[in-house]
Amino acid sequence: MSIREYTLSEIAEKIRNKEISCETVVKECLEQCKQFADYNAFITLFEEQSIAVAKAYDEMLDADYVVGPLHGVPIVLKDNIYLKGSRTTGGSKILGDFIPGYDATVAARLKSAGAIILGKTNMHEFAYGGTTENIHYGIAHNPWDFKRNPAGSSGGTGASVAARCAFGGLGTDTGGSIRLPASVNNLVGLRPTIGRVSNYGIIPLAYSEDTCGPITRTVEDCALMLNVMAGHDYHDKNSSKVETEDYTKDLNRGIFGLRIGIIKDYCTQHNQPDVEVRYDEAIQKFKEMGAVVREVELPDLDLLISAQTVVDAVEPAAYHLDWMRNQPEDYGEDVRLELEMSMMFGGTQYVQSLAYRSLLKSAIEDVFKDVDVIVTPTLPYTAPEIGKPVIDLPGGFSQDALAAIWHYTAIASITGKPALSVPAGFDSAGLPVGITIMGDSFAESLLFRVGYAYQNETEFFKKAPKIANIDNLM
Amino acid sequence: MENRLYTTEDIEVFNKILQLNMSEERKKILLTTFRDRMSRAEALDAKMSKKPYSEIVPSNIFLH
Repeated sequence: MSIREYTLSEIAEKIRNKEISCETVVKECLEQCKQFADYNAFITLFEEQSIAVAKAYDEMLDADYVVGPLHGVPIVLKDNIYLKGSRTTGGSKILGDFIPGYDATVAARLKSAGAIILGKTNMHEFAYGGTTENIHYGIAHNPWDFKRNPAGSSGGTGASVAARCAFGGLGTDTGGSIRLPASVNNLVGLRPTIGRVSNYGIIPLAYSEDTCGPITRTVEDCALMLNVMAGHDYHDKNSSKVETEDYTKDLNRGIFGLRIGIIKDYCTQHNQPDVEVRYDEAIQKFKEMGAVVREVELPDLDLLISAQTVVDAVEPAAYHLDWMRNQPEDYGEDVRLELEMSMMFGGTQYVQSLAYRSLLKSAIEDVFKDVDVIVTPTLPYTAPEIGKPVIDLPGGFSQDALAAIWHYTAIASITGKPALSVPAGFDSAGLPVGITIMGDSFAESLLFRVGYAYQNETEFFKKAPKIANIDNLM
Repeated sequence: MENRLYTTEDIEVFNKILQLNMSEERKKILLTTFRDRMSRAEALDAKMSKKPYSEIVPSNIFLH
Protein backbone atom coordinates (compact mmCIF):
# COMPACT_ATOMS: atom_id res chain seq x y z
CA MET A 1 0.00 0.00 0.00
CA SER A 2 1.37 3.39 -0.97
CA ILE A 3 1.91 5.97 1.75
CA ARG A 4 -0.24 8.29 -0.33
CA GLU A 5 -3.30 6.13 0.28
CA TYR A 6 -3.28 6.98 3.99
CA THR A 7 -5.31 9.89 5.28
CA LEU A 8 -3.79 12.62 7.43
CA SER A 9 -5.12 10.99 10.62
CA GLU A 10 -3.74 7.59 9.58
CA ILE A 11 -0.29 8.80 8.60
CA ALA A 12 0.00 10.86 11.81
CA GLU A 13 -0.70 7.72 13.83
CA LYS A 14 1.73 5.59 11.83
CA ILE A 15 4.48 8.16 12.31
CA ARG A 16 3.76 8.39 16.05
CA ASN A 17 3.87 4.61 16.32
CA LYS A 18 7.20 4.58 14.46
CA GLU A 19 5.75 2.31 11.74
CA ILE A 20 7.07 4.76 9.16
CA SER A 21 9.62 7.56 9.30
CA CYS A 22 8.89 11.24 8.71
CA GLU A 23 11.73 11.28 6.18
CA THR A 24 10.16 8.50 4.10
CA VAL A 25 6.79 10.23 4.12
CA VAL A 26 8.22 13.62 3.17
CA LYS A 27 10.39 12.20 0.39
CA GLU A 28 7.46 10.31 -1.14
CA CYS A 29 5.31 13.43 -1.04
CA LEU A 30 8.07 15.50 -2.65
CA GLU A 31 8.44 12.89 -5.38
CA GLN A 32 4.70 13.13 -6.07
CA CYS A 33 4.99 16.95 -6.19
CA LYS A 34 7.60 16.56 -8.94
CA GLN A 35 5.42 14.10 -10.88
CA PHE A 36 2.63 16.66 -10.58
CA ALA A 37 4.71 19.68 -11.64
CA ASP A 38 2.83 20.30 -14.92
CA TYR A 39 -0.33 21.07 -12.94
CA ASN A 40 1.22 24.27 -11.51
CA ALA A 41 -0.14 23.63 -8.03
CA PHE A 42 2.89 25.15 -6.28
CA ILE A 43 4.54 28.53 -6.24
CA THR A 44 7.34 27.47 -3.86
CA LEU A 45 8.45 24.00 -2.78
CA PHE A 46 10.66 23.55 0.33
CA GLU A 47 12.53 20.44 -0.71
CA GLU A 48 15.78 20.47 1.31
CA GLN A 49 14.18 22.22 4.27
CA SER A 50 11.34 19.68 4.51
CA ILE A 51 13.74 16.73 4.46
CA ALA A 52 15.93 18.38 7.10
CA VAL A 53 12.95 18.96 9.38
CA ALA A 54 11.73 15.39 8.78
CA LYS A 55 15.10 13.98 9.81
CA ALA A 56 15.08 16.10 12.96
CA TYR A 57 11.55 14.94 13.77
CA ASP A 58 12.62 11.30 13.32
CA GLU A 59 15.43 11.83 15.82
CA MET A 60 12.98 13.38 18.25
CA LEU A 61 10.68 10.37 17.89
CA ASP A 62 13.63 8.09 18.58
CA ALA A 63 13.90 9.94 21.87
CA ASP A 64 10.12 9.47 22.37
CA TYR A 65 9.50 13.19 21.94
CA VAL A 66 6.34 14.03 20.01
CA VAL A 67 6.01 17.66 18.94
CA GLY A 68 2.22 17.49 18.58
CA PRO A 69 -0.72 15.73 16.93
CA LEU A 70 0.63 16.42 13.42
CA HIS A 71 4.21 15.32 14.14
CA GLY A 72 5.95 14.82 10.79
CA VAL A 73 2.81 15.17 8.63
CA PRO A 74 3.44 17.01 5.32
CA ILE A 75 0.97 19.79 4.59
CA VAL A 76 0.81 22.77 2.21
CA LEU A 77 -0.11 26.44 2.67
CA LYS A 78 -1.81 28.76 0.23
CA ASP A 79 0.65 31.45 -0.80
CA ASN A 80 -1.20 34.29 0.90
CA ILE A 81 -0.30 32.88 4.34
CA TYR A 82 2.88 34.33 5.83
CA LEU A 83 5.74 31.97 6.51
CA LYS A 84 8.71 33.62 8.20
CA GLY A 85 11.70 33.93 5.90
CA SER A 86 9.88 32.43 2.91
CA ARG A 87 8.48 34.22 -0.11
CA THR A 88 4.75 34.91 0.22
CA THR A 89 3.42 36.25 -3.05
CA GLY A 90 -0.36 36.15 -2.74
CA GLY A 91 -0.15 34.79 -6.27
CA SER A 92 0.88 38.25 -7.45
CA LYS A 93 3.75 39.91 -9.26
CA ILE A 94 3.38 42.90 -6.93
CA LEU A 95 4.38 40.83 -3.87
CA GLY A 96 6.64 38.54 -5.87
CA ASP A 97 9.67 39.25 -3.68
CA PHE A 98 7.87 39.74 -0.38
CA ILE A 99 9.45 37.80 2.49
CA PRO A 100 7.51 38.12 5.78
CA GLY A 101 9.37 38.53 9.05
CA TYR A 102 6.93 36.40 11.01
CA ASP A 103 4.62 33.41 10.65
CA ALA A 104 0.90 33.80 10.24
CA THR A 105 -0.73 32.55 13.43
CA VAL A 106 -2.20 29.54 11.59
CA ALA A 107 1.22 28.63 10.18
CA ALA A 108 2.84 28.97 13.62
CA ARG A 109 0.17 26.77 15.20
CA LEU A 110 0.52 24.06 12.57
CA LYS A 111 4.31 24.10 12.95
CA SER A 112 3.92 23.89 16.72
CA ALA A 113 1.71 20.84 16.22
CA GLY A 114 4.53 19.15 14.28
CA ALA A 115 3.30 19.63 10.70
CA ILE A 116 5.98 19.87 8.03
CA ILE A 117 5.21 22.55 5.46
CA LEU A 118 6.16 21.16 2.06
CA GLY A 119 5.37 24.22 0.01
CA LYS A 120 3.29 27.28 -0.77
CA THR A 121 0.50 26.68 -3.23
CA ASN A 122 -0.68 28.50 -6.31
CA MET A 123 -3.79 30.64 -6.03
CA HIS A 124 -5.90 33.14 -7.90
CA GLU A 125 -4.00 36.42 -7.80
CA PHE A 126 -4.66 38.08 -4.43
CA ALA A 127 -7.46 35.51 -3.94
CA TYR A 128 -9.62 37.68 -6.19
CA GLY A 129 -11.19 35.04 -8.42
CA GLY A 130 -12.34 31.44 -8.55
CA THR A 131 -10.20 29.70 -11.18
CA THR A 132 -6.49 29.83 -10.16
CA GLU A 133 -5.71 30.69 -13.77
CA ASN A 134 -2.67 32.61 -12.61
CA ILE A 135 -0.65 34.38 -15.30
CA HIS A 136 2.31 35.05 -13.00
CA TYR A 137 2.93 31.51 -11.69
CA GLY A 138 1.17 29.38 -14.29
CA ILE A 139 -2.40 28.29 -14.85
CA ALA A 140 -3.28 25.62 -12.30
CA HIS A 141 -4.88 22.42 -13.61
CA ASN A 142 -7.44 20.10 -12.08
CA PRO A 143 -6.02 16.66 -11.18
CA TRP A 144 -9.27 15.04 -12.32
CA ASP A 145 -9.03 16.58 -15.80
CA PHE A 146 -6.02 18.56 -17.01
CA LYS A 147 -8.22 20.71 -19.30
CA ARG A 148 -10.17 22.04 -16.34
CA ASN A 149 -9.29 24.38 -13.51
CA PRO A 150 -9.11 23.29 -9.86
CA ALA A 151 -11.38 26.24 -8.89
CA GLY A 152 -10.08 28.86 -6.55
CA SER A 153 -8.91 30.91 -5.17
CA SER A 154 -7.24 28.15 -3.11
CA GLY A 155 -6.87 26.00 -6.23
CA GLY A 156 -3.26 24.97 -5.66
CA THR A 157 -4.07 23.62 -2.22
CA GLY A 158 -7.07 21.72 -3.58
CA ALA A 159 -5.16 20.28 -6.53
CA SER A 160 -2.11 19.24 -4.51
CA VAL A 161 -4.11 17.55 -1.74
CA ALA A 162 -6.27 15.72 -4.29
CA ALA A 163 -3.14 14.57 -6.14
CA ARG A 164 -1.74 13.20 -2.84
CA CYS A 165 1.22 15.60 -2.77
CA ALA A 166 0.34 16.32 0.86
CA PHE A 167 -2.10 15.07 3.49
CA GLY A 168 -3.87 18.37 3.99
CA GLY A 169 -3.51 22.05 3.39
CA LEU A 170 -4.74 25.50 4.18
CA GLY A 171 -6.89 27.70 2.02
CA THR A 172 -8.61 30.99 2.62
CA ASP A 173 -12.27 31.65 1.92
CA THR A 174 -13.99 34.98 1.36
CA GLY A 175 -16.76 34.21 -1.14
CA GLY A 176 -16.12 30.46 -1.40
CA SER A 177 -12.40 29.94 -2.00
CA ILE A 178 -12.04 26.91 0.29
CA ARG A 179 -15.36 25.27 -0.55
CA LEU A 180 -14.95 25.60 -4.33
CA PRO A 181 -11.61 23.74 -4.61
CA ALA A 182 -12.91 21.16 -2.13
CA SER A 183 -15.99 20.57 -4.30
CA VAL A 184 -14.28 20.23 -7.69
CA ASN A 185 -11.35 18.15 -6.35
CA ASN A 186 -13.36 15.57 -4.29
CA LEU A 187 -12.13 16.96 -0.99
CA VAL A 188 -13.42 18.21 2.34
CA GLY A 189 -13.10 21.94 2.99
CA LEU A 190 -14.16 23.99 5.97
CA ARG A 191 -14.97 27.67 5.97
CA PRO A 192 -14.94 28.29 9.74
CA THR A 193 -17.17 30.75 11.58
CA ILE A 194 -15.79 34.29 11.18
CA GLY A 195 -13.40 34.81 14.09
CA ARG A 196 -12.90 31.10 14.88
CA VAL A 197 -9.48 31.05 13.18
CA SER A 198 -7.02 33.94 13.27
CA ASN A 199 -6.39 35.94 10.10
CA TYR A 200 -3.18 37.45 11.46
CA GLY A 201 -0.43 37.24 8.87
CA ILE A 202 -2.73 36.50 5.94
CA ILE A 203 -2.92 38.84 2.93
CA PRO A 204 -6.49 40.20 3.07
CA LEU A 205 -9.15 40.19 0.38
CA ALA A 206 -12.35 41.44 2.06
CA TYR A 207 -11.79 42.11 5.75
CA SER A 208 -15.29 41.33 6.96
CA GLU A 209 -15.55 37.97 5.18
CA ASP A 210 -12.01 36.56 5.12
CA THR A 211 -11.47 33.20 6.83
CA CYS A 212 -8.75 30.55 6.83
CA GLY A 213 -9.53 26.85 6.97
CA PRO A 214 -8.36 23.33 6.15
CA ILE A 215 -8.75 21.35 2.94
CA THR A 216 -8.31 17.60 3.44
CA ARG A 217 -9.39 14.23 2.07
CA THR A 218 -11.64 13.30 4.99
CA VAL A 219 -13.85 14.98 7.55
CA GLU A 220 -11.84 13.66 10.52
CA ASP A 221 -8.65 15.12 9.00
CA CYS A 222 -10.38 18.46 8.67
CA ALA A 223 -11.48 18.35 12.32
CA LEU A 224 -7.98 17.40 13.41
CA MET A 225 -6.49 20.38 11.59
CA LEU A 226 -9.10 22.76 13.02
CA ASN A 227 -8.21 21.50 16.52
CA VAL A 228 -4.74 22.89 15.93
CA MET A 229 -5.73 26.11 14.16
CA ALA A 230 -8.74 27.39 16.10
CA GLY A 231 -8.73 29.79 19.02
CA HIS A 232 -8.38 33.39 20.05
CA ASP A 233 -5.35 35.34 18.86
CA TYR A 234 -4.59 38.69 20.44
CA HIS A 235 -2.93 39.80 17.18
CA ASP A 236 -6.28 39.58 15.39
CA LYS A 237 -8.84 41.92 16.92
CA ASN A 238 -11.70 40.13 15.17
CA SER A 239 -10.73 36.69 16.44
CA SER A 240 -13.30 35.27 18.83
CA LYS A 241 -12.89 34.52 22.53
CA VAL A 242 -15.54 31.80 22.38
CA GLU A 243 -13.97 28.62 23.80
CA THR A 244 -12.69 26.07 21.30
CA GLU A 245 -13.48 22.39 21.69
CA ASP A 246 -12.21 19.03 20.50
CA TYR A 247 -13.71 19.10 17.01
CA THR A 248 -13.42 15.31 16.69
CA LYS A 249 -15.49 14.60 19.81
CA ASP A 250 -18.88 14.24 18.09
CA LEU A 251 -17.77 12.48 14.93
CA ASN A 252 -19.31 9.14 15.87
CA ARG A 253 -22.64 10.38 17.22
CA GLY A 254 -24.52 9.77 13.98
CA ILE A 255 -27.36 11.93 12.69
CA PHE A 256 -30.48 10.05 13.75
CA GLY A 257 -33.18 12.61 14.54
CA LEU A 258 -31.05 15.57 13.44
CA ARG A 259 -33.03 18.24 11.58
CA ILE A 260 -31.71 19.10 8.13
CA GLY A 261 -33.08 22.11 6.26
CA ILE A 262 -33.25 22.51 2.50
CA ILE A 263 -33.92 26.02 1.25
CA LYS A 264 -37.32 26.24 -0.42
CA ASP A 265 -37.29 27.19 -4.12
CA TYR A 266 -33.55 27.80 -4.16
CA CYS A 267 -31.53 24.59 -4.51
CA THR A 268 -33.25 22.81 -7.39
CA GLN A 269 -33.50 25.19 -10.33
CA HIS A 270 -30.00 26.41 -10.85
CA ASN A 271 -27.73 23.39 -11.19
CA GLN A 272 -26.18 21.34 -13.94
CA PRO A 273 -28.33 18.18 -14.22
CA ASP A 274 -25.78 15.80 -12.69
CA VAL A 275 -25.24 18.15 -9.74
CA GLU A 276 -29.00 18.21 -9.24
CA VAL A 277 -29.13 14.39 -9.20
CA ARG A 278 -26.23 14.09 -6.73
CA TYR A 279 -27.85 16.67 -4.45
CA ASP A 280 -31.18 14.83 -4.49
CA GLU A 281 -29.36 11.56 -3.73
CA ALA A 282 -27.56 13.20 -0.82
CA ILE A 283 -30.83 14.43 0.67
CA GLN A 284 -32.30 10.94 0.25
CA LYS A 285 -29.24 9.46 1.95
CA PHE A 286 -29.67 11.79 4.93
CA LYS A 287 -33.29 10.62 5.26
CA GLU A 288 -32.20 6.96 5.14
CA MET A 289 -29.70 7.70 7.87
CA GLY A 290 -32.49 8.88 10.14
CA ALA A 291 -32.28 12.65 9.75
CA VAL A 292 -35.47 14.69 9.59
CA VAL A 293 -35.38 16.71 6.35
CA ARG A 294 -37.64 19.72 6.03
CA GLU A 295 -37.97 22.74 3.78
CA VAL A 296 -37.04 26.10 5.26
CA GLU A 297 -37.79 29.62 4.05
CA LEU A 298 -34.84 31.98 3.67
CA PRO A 299 -36.27 35.26 2.37
CA ASP A 300 -34.51 38.02 0.42
CA LEU A 301 -31.99 35.71 -1.30
CA ASP A 302 -32.74 37.63 -4.50
CA LEU A 303 -30.24 40.24 -3.30
CA LEU A 304 -27.53 37.84 -2.13
CA ILE A 305 -25.34 38.22 -5.22
CA SER A 306 -25.81 42.00 -5.26
CA ALA A 307 -24.70 42.40 -1.65
CA GLN A 308 -21.80 39.99 -2.07
CA THR A 309 -20.73 41.86 -5.21
CA VAL A 310 -20.48 45.15 -3.31
CA VAL A 311 -18.82 43.83 -0.12
CA ASP A 312 -16.34 41.76 -2.12
CA ALA A 313 -15.45 44.87 -4.11
CA VAL A 314 -15.33 47.78 -1.69
CA GLU A 315 -13.20 46.02 0.92
CA PRO A 316 -10.54 44.81 -1.57
CA ALA A 317 -10.56 48.30 -3.14
CA ALA A 318 -9.41 49.86 0.12
CA TYR A 319 -6.47 47.45 0.38
CA HIS A 320 -5.39 47.74 -3.28
CA LEU A 321 -5.92 51.45 -3.92
CA ASP A 322 -2.29 52.54 -3.75
CA TRP A 323 -1.09 49.78 -6.09
CA MET A 324 -3.99 50.49 -8.45
CA ARG A 325 -2.94 54.12 -8.64
CA ASN A 326 0.72 53.44 -9.21
CA GLN A 327 1.25 50.04 -10.85
CA PRO A 328 -2.06 48.70 -12.23
CA GLU A 329 -0.24 47.04 -15.13
CA ASP A 330 1.39 44.64 -12.64
CA TYR A 331 -1.94 42.86 -12.05
CA GLY A 332 -3.26 40.15 -14.35
CA GLU A 333 -5.95 41.55 -16.65
CA ASP A 334 -8.87 39.77 -14.95
CA VAL A 335 -7.89 40.95 -11.48
CA ARG A 336 -7.09 44.46 -12.71
CA LEU A 337 -10.56 44.69 -14.24
CA GLU A 338 -12.21 43.46 -11.03
CA LEU A 339 -10.22 45.95 -8.98
CA GLU A 340 -11.02 48.84 -11.29
CA MET A 341 -14.67 47.91 -10.89
CA SER A 342 -14.28 47.55 -7.14
CA MET A 343 -13.30 51.23 -6.94
CA MET A 344 -16.61 52.29 -8.50
CA PHE A 345 -19.07 51.62 -5.69
CA GLY A 346 -20.28 54.32 -3.35
CA GLY A 347 -20.33 54.35 0.42
CA THR A 348 -24.13 54.18 0.51
CA GLN A 349 -24.14 50.99 -1.56
CA TYR A 350 -21.61 49.44 0.82
CA VAL A 351 -23.70 50.30 3.87
CA GLN A 352 -26.78 48.90 2.15
CA SER A 353 -24.87 45.64 1.63
CA LEU A 354 -23.95 45.54 5.30
CA ALA A 355 -27.58 46.17 6.21
CA TYR A 356 -28.51 43.29 3.92
CA ARG A 357 -26.01 41.19 5.88
CA SER A 358 -27.91 42.02 9.09
CA LEU A 359 -31.16 41.10 7.37
CA LEU A 360 -29.97 37.72 6.05
CA LYS A 361 -28.05 36.91 9.24
CA SER A 362 -31.16 37.46 11.32
CA ALA A 363 -33.23 35.34 8.90
CA ILE A 364 -30.80 32.43 8.89
CA GLU A 365 -30.52 32.51 12.69
CA ASP A 366 -34.31 32.15 12.82
CA VAL A 367 -34.00 29.16 10.48
CA PHE A 368 -31.42 27.58 12.82
CA LYS A 369 -34.03 27.60 15.58
CA ASP A 370 -36.01 25.11 13.49
CA VAL A 371 -33.24 23.01 11.94
CA ASP A 372 -29.74 22.01 13.04
CA VAL A 373 -28.05 22.43 9.67
CA ILE A 374 -28.85 23.51 6.12
CA VAL A 375 -27.62 21.41 3.18
CA THR A 376 -27.10 22.84 -0.31
CA PRO A 377 -24.98 21.93 -3.32
CA THR A 378 -21.57 23.59 -2.93
CA LEU A 379 -21.53 24.72 -6.54
CA PRO A 380 -24.16 24.51 -9.29
CA TYR A 381 -21.55 22.97 -11.60
CA THR A 382 -18.49 20.71 -11.77
CA ALA A 383 -14.96 21.88 -12.68
CA PRO A 384 -15.13 24.33 -15.61
CA GLU A 385 -12.79 24.23 -18.58
CA ILE A 386 -9.78 26.50 -18.38
CA GLY A 387 -10.34 29.84 -20.07
CA LYS A 388 -14.12 29.69 -19.95
CA PRO A 389 -15.53 32.77 -18.19
CA VAL A 390 -19.19 31.73 -18.20
CA ILE A 391 -20.94 28.70 -16.75
CA ASP A 392 -23.48 26.77 -18.84
CA LEU A 393 -26.61 25.90 -16.92
CA PRO A 394 -29.78 24.02 -17.98
CA GLY A 395 -32.04 25.47 -20.65
CA GLY A 396 -29.25 27.08 -22.64
CA PHE A 397 -28.78 29.56 -19.81
CA SER A 398 -25.29 30.92 -19.16
CA GLN A 399 -24.19 32.83 -16.12
CA ASP A 400 -21.02 34.75 -15.38
CA ALA A 401 -18.75 32.64 -13.21
CA LEU A 402 -18.83 34.91 -10.17
CA ALA A 403 -22.62 34.93 -9.86
CA ALA A 404 -22.78 31.17 -10.42
CA ILE A 405 -20.12 30.57 -7.79
CA TRP A 406 -21.86 32.68 -5.17
CA HIS A 407 -25.35 31.22 -5.58
CA TYR A 408 -24.74 28.94 -2.58
CA THR A 409 -21.39 29.93 -1.09
CA ALA A 410 -22.25 33.58 -0.48
CA ILE A 411 -24.91 32.64 2.08
CA ALA A 412 -22.25 31.63 4.63
CA SER A 413 -19.85 34.34 3.46
CA ILE A 414 -22.30 37.20 3.99
CA THR A 415 -23.66 35.86 7.30
CA GLY A 416 -20.32 34.75 8.78
CA LYS A 417 -21.57 31.21 9.42
CA PRO A 418 -19.47 28.04 9.14
CA ALA A 419 -19.83 25.77 6.10
CA LEU A 420 -18.33 22.37 5.31
CA SER A 421 -18.09 21.05 1.76
CA VAL A 422 -17.91 17.26 1.45
CA PRO A 423 -17.67 14.94 -1.58
CA ALA A 424 -21.08 13.89 -2.95
CA GLY A 425 -20.25 11.77 -5.97
CA PHE A 426 -19.38 12.41 -9.60
CA ASP A 427 -20.97 13.68 -12.80
CA SER A 428 -21.23 11.61 -15.99
CA ALA A 429 -17.72 12.74 -17.01
CA GLY A 430 -16.29 11.53 -13.70
CA LEU A 431 -15.84 15.01 -12.24
CA PRO A 432 -16.43 15.49 -8.50
CA VAL A 433 -19.57 17.07 -7.05
CA GLY A 434 -19.75 18.55 -3.54
CA ILE A 435 -22.50 19.38 -1.07
CA THR A 436 -22.27 21.95 1.71
CA ILE A 437 -23.42 21.56 5.29
CA MET A 438 -24.00 24.95 6.89
CA GLY A 439 -24.64 25.66 10.58
CA ASP A 440 -25.02 28.47 13.08
CA SER A 441 -21.99 30.31 14.47
CA PHE A 442 -19.39 28.05 16.11
CA ALA A 443 -21.27 24.87 15.12
CA GLU A 444 -18.17 23.34 13.52
CA SER A 445 -18.42 20.15 15.60
CA LEU A 446 -21.98 19.64 14.40
CA LEU A 447 -20.94 20.12 10.77
CA PHE A 448 -18.17 17.57 11.20
CA ARG A 449 -20.63 15.16 12.82
CA VAL A 450 -23.03 15.39 9.87
CA GLY A 451 -20.24 15.32 7.30
CA TYR A 452 -18.56 12.32 8.92
CA ALA A 453 -21.76 10.27 9.00
CA TYR A 454 -22.45 11.08 5.35
CA GLN A 455 -18.86 10.41 4.31
CA ASN A 456 -18.86 6.98 5.91
CA GLU A 457 -22.16 6.03 4.28
CA THR A 458 -21.06 7.11 0.79
CA GLU A 459 -17.24 6.68 0.75
CA PHE A 460 -16.85 9.03 -2.22
CA PHE A 461 -13.68 10.34 -0.57
CA LYS A 462 -11.91 7.09 -1.33
CA LYS A 463 -11.81 7.75 -5.06
CA ALA A 464 -8.62 9.46 -6.24
CA PRO A 465 -7.68 11.04 -9.57
CA LYS A 466 -5.37 8.94 -11.79
CA ILE A 467 -2.50 11.38 -11.28
CA ALA A 468 -2.44 10.36 -7.60
CA ASN A 469 -0.87 7.05 -8.77
CA ILE A 470 -2.63 4.92 -6.20
CA ASP A 471 -5.09 2.04 -6.40
CA ASN A 472 -8.55 3.46 -6.14
CA LEU A 473 -10.23 2.11 -3.07
CA MET A 474 -13.76 2.63 -4.39
CA MET B 1 -35.92 54.04 -9.82
CA GLU B 2 -34.76 55.38 -13.16
CA ASN B 3 -33.07 52.83 -15.44
CA ARG B 4 -29.81 54.42 -16.49
CA LEU B 5 -27.50 53.49 -19.32
CA TYR B 6 -24.06 54.20 -17.97
CA THR B 7 -21.22 55.56 -20.09
CA THR B 8 -17.50 56.05 -19.64
CA GLU B 9 -18.31 59.49 -18.25
CA ASP B 10 -19.78 57.82 -15.18
CA ILE B 11 -16.58 55.82 -14.77
CA GLU B 12 -14.64 59.06 -15.06
CA VAL B 13 -16.39 60.39 -11.94
CA PHE B 14 -14.84 57.65 -9.80
CA ASN B 15 -11.60 57.79 -11.74
CA LYS B 16 -11.26 61.45 -10.83
CA ILE B 17 -12.29 61.15 -7.20
CA LEU B 18 -9.95 58.22 -6.52
CA GLN B 19 -7.12 59.50 -8.76
CA LEU B 20 -6.85 56.20 -10.60
CA ASN B 21 -5.32 57.66 -13.76
CA MET B 22 -7.41 55.35 -15.96
CA SER B 23 -6.93 55.86 -19.68
CA GLU B 24 -9.91 56.23 -22.04
CA GLU B 25 -9.13 52.74 -23.27
CA ARG B 26 -9.36 51.29 -19.74
CA LYS B 27 -12.69 53.02 -19.20
CA LYS B 28 -14.03 51.45 -22.39
CA ILE B 29 -12.77 48.00 -21.32
CA LEU B 30 -14.48 48.42 -17.94
CA LEU B 31 -17.82 49.67 -19.27
CA THR B 32 -19.57 46.28 -19.76
CA THR B 33 -18.59 45.11 -16.30
CA PHE B 34 -19.53 48.50 -14.86
CA ARG B 35 -23.05 48.30 -16.28
CA ASP B 36 -23.53 44.73 -15.04
CA ARG B 37 -22.27 45.39 -11.50
CA MET B 38 -24.11 48.70 -11.18
CA SER B 39 -27.34 46.93 -12.05
CA ARG B 40 -26.71 44.61 -9.10
CA ALA B 41 -26.06 47.56 -6.79
CA GLU B 42 -29.22 49.26 -8.07
CA ALA B 43 -31.28 46.16 -7.26
CA LEU B 44 -29.91 46.31 -3.74
CA ASP B 45 -30.64 50.04 -3.50
CA ALA B 46 -34.20 49.59 -4.73
CA LYS B 47 -35.05 47.47 -1.70
CA MET B 48 -32.63 48.59 1.00
CA SER B 49 -33.34 52.32 0.64
CA LYS B 50 -37.01 51.75 1.53
CA LYS B 51 -38.47 51.35 4.99
CA PRO B 52 -38.31 49.06 6.92
CA TYR B 53 -35.03 47.94 5.27
CA SER B 54 -33.41 51.38 5.52
CA GLU B 55 -33.76 51.17 9.30
CA ILE B 56 -31.72 47.97 9.61
CA VAL B 57 -28.45 48.48 11.47
CA PRO B 58 -25.56 47.36 9.23
CA SER B 59 -23.12 44.64 10.38
CA ASN B 60 -19.55 45.40 9.47
CA ILE B 61 -17.99 43.10 12.06
CA PHE B 62 -19.23 39.88 13.60
CA LEU B 63 -19.86 39.70 17.33
CA HIS B 64 -22.01 36.52 16.72
